[in-house]
Amino acid sequence: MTIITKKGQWKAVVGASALVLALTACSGTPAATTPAATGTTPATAAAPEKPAGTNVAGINELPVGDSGPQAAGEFLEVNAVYFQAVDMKHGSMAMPAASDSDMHFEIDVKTTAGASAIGFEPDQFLPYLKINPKLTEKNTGEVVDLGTLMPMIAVDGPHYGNNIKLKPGLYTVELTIQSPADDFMLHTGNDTSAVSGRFWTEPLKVTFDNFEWDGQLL
Amino acid sequence: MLKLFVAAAELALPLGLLSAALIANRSYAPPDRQRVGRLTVRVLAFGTLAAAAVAWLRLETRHVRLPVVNLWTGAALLLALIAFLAALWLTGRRELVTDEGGWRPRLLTATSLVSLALVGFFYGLPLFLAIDKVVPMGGTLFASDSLVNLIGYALGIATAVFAGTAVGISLGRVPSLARRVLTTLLLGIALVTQWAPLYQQLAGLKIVPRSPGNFQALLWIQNNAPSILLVYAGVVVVTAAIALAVRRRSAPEDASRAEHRLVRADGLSRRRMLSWSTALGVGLAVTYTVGKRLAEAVPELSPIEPSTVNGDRVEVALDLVSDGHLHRFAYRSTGGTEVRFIVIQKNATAFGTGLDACEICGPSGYFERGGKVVCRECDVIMNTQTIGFPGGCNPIPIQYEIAGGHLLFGVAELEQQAKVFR
Repeated sequence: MTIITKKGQWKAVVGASALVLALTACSGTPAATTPAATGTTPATAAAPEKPAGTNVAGINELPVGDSGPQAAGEFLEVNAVYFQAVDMKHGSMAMPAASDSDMHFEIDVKTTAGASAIGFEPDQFLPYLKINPKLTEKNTGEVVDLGTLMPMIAVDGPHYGNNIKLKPGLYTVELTIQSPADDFMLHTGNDTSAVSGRFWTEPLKVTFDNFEWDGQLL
Repeated sequence: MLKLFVAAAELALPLGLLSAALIANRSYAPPDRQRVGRLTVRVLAFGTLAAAAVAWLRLETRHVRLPVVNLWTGAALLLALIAFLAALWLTGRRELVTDEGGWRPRLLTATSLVSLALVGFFYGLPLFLAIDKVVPMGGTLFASDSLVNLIGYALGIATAVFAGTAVGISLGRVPSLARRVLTTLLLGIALVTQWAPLYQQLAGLKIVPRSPGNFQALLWIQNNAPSILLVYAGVVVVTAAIALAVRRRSAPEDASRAEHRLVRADGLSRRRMLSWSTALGVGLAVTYTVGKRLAEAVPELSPIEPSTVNGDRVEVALDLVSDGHLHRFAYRSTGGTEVRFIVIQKNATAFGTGLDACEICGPSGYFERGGKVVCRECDVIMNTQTIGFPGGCNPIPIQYEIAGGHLLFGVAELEQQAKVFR
């Protein structure tokens, strides 16, 4: 016998592997829970964060691009994140299954202080937006149109998103945010309930650059 | 079925071949053969069962975060494989089955078994996670679709297991140098393809600096994954070919008849192994090229069927659409845009009607597969009864009336929806 000299030595191997697994199967590492790893940047430091929204229920939101949250027009701040695909229910309608998707692509929208002009408190979700992300792969120039993201709600609140398939690549993500004016009325006139602001008329454009999608399991 | 077969064959082949290479390079004394064999089975079973358990936890609970799992096991496997390769080349030309003893054989077997457990886990995890694709969304395990998918998944794994077995047997028959070179090739591919993702994950956690060069290398690996699998498939054939080339062609003249028969039998066995390995290698190569292309092919839209514009209505003959299948029509708007719309009969008196486009995917269109309406862009299967209602991947609904043996659609509504197709 050259190597296996003791009875039950295999148990040592199993034990060592179990130690590795014990380390791996836990739901995170301290480094993985840092704000930097979750897409919140100094740009939002003054605004309240979502309630642990970056690490809730085993979901670790990763930033799309390297810019962090960005202002969109005078009423909105938007942030793009991605994480593991998740099944969604939309009445009896069909949505892409998590098992057939590479990731859940999400746009978080919150109102700014300026949105008081249209009756919103800061940090609220703005409904009835049509958000169309267009991704351009920087090496090949290939353009991927993600269509229109759907409004939905998760444990960390409402957002716009969808499960998507995406080839690994280095992308520039351009969001086109249509005005909700056709679907969401404003009180106007001289009544006390009227708001002074008006929705934007030209679609807002926001760009998240250097989105490194490496195709790894999420 | 084909999709699951290809996916399983892609995910299982590295697991099969790396396991075979590690098993073929254990060193032990002849009396310990069975004991080492039992230990090997237990170690491999532990790794793969642990992967199955973690996959189940990932799919059914909220307690597993895959990037963290991959980070730890990927790093451990990387170190284990490097240690194994060092032990392999330190062992050099020494016989693997030997009574000589010493630290080198011990190190070789120990690193082989540790690597085996980690290979079973690391490569087994995505393989077991892929079982989530077996049951289509909204379906059940006992539906025919699921069972066919399950068969494809199992066949993909079986093919990789056969390939691994063939490589394992052939590696035991080739000269020491060829065995070490082929093993290093297989494990070298694993090391290279693991290093870039691991570095990317570490960079994501800000443990190491971000490296555009590493990310581009990672993209190259991801984009060339089919070519890497073809190299694996090639190793299956090459190993068997070397084993046949180095066979004993004849026994010494003074050898017994039994020894002559043994030499002939060995040659025959190696020839058969080459035949099987060639079939497996070619089969895998076809799977990773033609099979993958077929599995991922996006169907062409069916032809536009005839309809008639009559005043402010577009008329579609009821007879044409009363068969429960998907039918596609088009209206040319005043701006010259082709506005496609679809019709499917839901029951004796009701039809599902909508644009050949949805809010999410735009005008990509729908096709019929196995009696179900599927979005051509995202492959989502529609619930036929909900076609005609808005939301999700459903076709954007359009109104219809039934009169005089025709379905009638409003020209004004189709004109207004032309913007969807621009």
